Amino acid sequence: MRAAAGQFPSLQQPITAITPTRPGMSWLAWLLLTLGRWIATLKMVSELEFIHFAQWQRVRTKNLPRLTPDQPAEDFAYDFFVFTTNYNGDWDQYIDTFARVPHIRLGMRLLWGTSQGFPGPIPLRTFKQYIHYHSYPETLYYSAYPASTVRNIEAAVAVKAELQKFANVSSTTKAETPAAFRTRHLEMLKAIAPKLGSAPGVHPFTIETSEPGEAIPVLGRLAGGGKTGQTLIAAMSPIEVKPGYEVTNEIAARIAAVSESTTPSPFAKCPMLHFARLVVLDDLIPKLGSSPAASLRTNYLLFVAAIDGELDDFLDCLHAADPKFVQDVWGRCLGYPEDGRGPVFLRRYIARSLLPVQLPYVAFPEHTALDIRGAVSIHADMLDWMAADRHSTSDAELMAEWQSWLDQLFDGTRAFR
Amino acid sequence: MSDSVEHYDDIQALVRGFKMRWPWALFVYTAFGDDPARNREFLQTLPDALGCHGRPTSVAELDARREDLGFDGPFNVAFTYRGLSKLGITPDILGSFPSEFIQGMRKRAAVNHDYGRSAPESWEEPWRHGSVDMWIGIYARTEAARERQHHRLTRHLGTFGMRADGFDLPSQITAGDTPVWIDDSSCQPEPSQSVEHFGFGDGVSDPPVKGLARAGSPTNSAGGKIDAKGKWQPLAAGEFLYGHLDEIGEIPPAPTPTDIGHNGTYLVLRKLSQDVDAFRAYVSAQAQLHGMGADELAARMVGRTRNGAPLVKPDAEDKNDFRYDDDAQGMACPMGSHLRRTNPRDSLNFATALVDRHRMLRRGMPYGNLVPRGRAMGEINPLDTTTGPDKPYPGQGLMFLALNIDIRRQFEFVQSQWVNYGNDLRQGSDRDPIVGAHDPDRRKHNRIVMLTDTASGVAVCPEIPSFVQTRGGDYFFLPSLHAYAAIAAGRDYH
Repeated sequence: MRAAAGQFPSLQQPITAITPTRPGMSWLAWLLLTLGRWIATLKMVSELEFIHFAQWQRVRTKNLPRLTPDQPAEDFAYDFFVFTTNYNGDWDQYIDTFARVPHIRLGMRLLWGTSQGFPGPIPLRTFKQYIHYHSYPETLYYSAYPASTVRNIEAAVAVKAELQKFANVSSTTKAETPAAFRTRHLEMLKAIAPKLGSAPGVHPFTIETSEPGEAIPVLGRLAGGGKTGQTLIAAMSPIEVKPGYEVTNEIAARIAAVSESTTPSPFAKCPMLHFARLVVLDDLIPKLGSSPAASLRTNYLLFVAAIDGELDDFLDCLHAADPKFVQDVWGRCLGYPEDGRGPVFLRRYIARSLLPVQLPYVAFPEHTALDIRGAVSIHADMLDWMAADRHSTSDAELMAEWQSWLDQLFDGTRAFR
Repeated sequence: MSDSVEHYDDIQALVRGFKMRWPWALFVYTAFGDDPARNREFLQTLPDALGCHGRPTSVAELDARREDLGFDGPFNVAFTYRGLSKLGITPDILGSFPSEFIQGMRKRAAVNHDYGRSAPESWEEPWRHGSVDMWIGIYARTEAARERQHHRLTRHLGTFGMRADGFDLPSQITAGDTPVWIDDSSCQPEPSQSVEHFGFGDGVSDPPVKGLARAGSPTNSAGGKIDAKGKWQPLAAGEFLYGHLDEIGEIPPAPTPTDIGHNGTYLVLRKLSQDVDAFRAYVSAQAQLHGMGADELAARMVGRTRNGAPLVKPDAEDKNDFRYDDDAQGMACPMGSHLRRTNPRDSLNFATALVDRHRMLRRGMPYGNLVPRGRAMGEINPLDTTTGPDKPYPGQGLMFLALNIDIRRQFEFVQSQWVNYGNDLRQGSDRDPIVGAHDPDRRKHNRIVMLTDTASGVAVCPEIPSFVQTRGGDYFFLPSLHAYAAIAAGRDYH
């Protein structure tokens, strides 16, 4: 299976692959994922430098969220292995190279070795077919910085740090001569030069804060030095008991409409959100082949997000951003209180739908989404500044020009902290 | 099944390459008629000529056979998808060829960044309308011999009621005593060095292939892949020929029946014009700005000296035997230079593991005369607007020829990810300073940032114009001799 023509350079692509675990091997999948962080799996992912986030989860079928008494218990014969990630570039072509690096090959074997029908990482052809076959289209995919690759962010964050270091010295050095300034400035430029490849910058279609006048309660708390450190969550909410598909289709259509709209989605109004996806799973079972109990009895909505700080803060924000969307999507899922109109109901509902997270990876765990967007935009400004010809600028002029430029960077959202 | 080239006599000569042995080439682009049987009849008259480029047991034997046939040198044939379909091959077989080959280069313009002045709508004929069915590549020892063969082939086509839709006359050019330096005469390449039009040694870093010895150094694998012990190894034959194991130990998916593909490969042919005036002017202006020599700056953009020596190892005896492990930041050879982009070697993680699947055998040759310094290219290679199918378009540039087994994974990947995008080499969205498609509408990305040892330590060269334009080209299937014979005879695949 090949990706559509003319796709690259595609900057971020999601994958949602859900494979059945081999009967009797489910515990091993769990064990491997639990041990995963010690067997260098995550180091391997970070070496690849094109994955923003990834998580692997073993999900017990019998533990799938059952949120109303009349939702039947699942008796499907397999457990699930849920892999969600995103990446830069062209999947087919990069996956090609996986099989050439021995420890990555081993990593694949370990991670998917417990999955039913897994052909192994080689031949690559059958491996690709397997992942494609078990991949589900995202009904909605959101990224706070969709135009940035992992390396773009890496460069932006490094440039921002150098500028910050430079600014700190400037503010503590009294009466620096213009000549000394130029020397120091030159050293800084040399340090950041390898990071100055041009980048698309901040994607124009996302916004980072709410519209003026629109009150989003959680903003203040985050800006006031809220918790750092990212949280990865995955929630599987039951939509509808089969053979019902009406609600499922309506929810899917509602999400798709938001996904295709040119106006910012409610997710874009949540500044603590890095990535989010919604996947309507109404055909999980046909992909698993025929077995006696060849059907999940319920359709589910998979919701995966990477956020700064606490899940509840994010859910509050999402609810404030578009309560109608929350109502139209989760509000119609099984077990959501019928008159549940406030954010507290969303919090409680998602909490009941959560799947245990086992092996989470994020490329920039130290940085909030706003940090990253700020760094990306500072990087773009730095490029513009570098592009001007200053060969005949005097030391004093350079110093003044730089200072006024640097002052502009302290414009609130992108400010150095 | 092996990862080494075995049946040498079944493979067209182009795969092995000619270098300076047959420096005069004639490329003829032919359109077939509507009758497949008649088209095949024409093909049947060629195998005698084709046969002479198997591995000769001796040069004397080869010479004798060439004499008999009236052709001086290697003779190669490749087909576009359109060409194959006019030979009466069963649709089922045709449909099993890879989709990018079926689409052809015109439809892949977006992937290859052929837009603006390089867009297919502004290509030369016969490429603009995609009317080429077959490429015939004849290589000769002398210009006179090429001329003779051109006549002979034209006559031969005529007897079948066919004609060439267009042709090109590329040749290996040496610097000789034509000055190609800009401001430093010591940069003039050796007289015998073969160069391209910007005045740089070219075609130096072809990968060694298992079973396909590099001329004169059968055991030298420099420039191939780096193994677990850190040693150079040749690349598996399956990266370049059907029916062989490739770099991950698989046999690449081939058209069915696999026999039609076995020992065959794909030829990516592109006619790239080079704007020598713009290149020299831009480099001179930028060099002045950054306090460097123009030839020095040009070399940094290319990644090699004009003699073809790599900047990371200028005194290398073997110009292909070098690595970037001591130059991780790109101090000696900029990360964004043409050389580093088109073959990053060990610049990426995991030695060459992320590079080996994106290599090509390059068989390009320049066309047009070298433009001496101080002269305008219009004086040397004047553009003649009255040209038609009877004479080649003037100007100067490169007939880019690359052989690979997966056009998408090899040629198109390099073109779209490494030449016209910079993420892998940490160059953001910047493009190749020499061959990048520098779109005037996206000026921001038309630049290169280089670390230098000048006072400023860093040079940003902004708003690079497109020095190279695509004038035409297509994707061709270069069959093995046995598959050619079967296609020509109308057996097995019809």
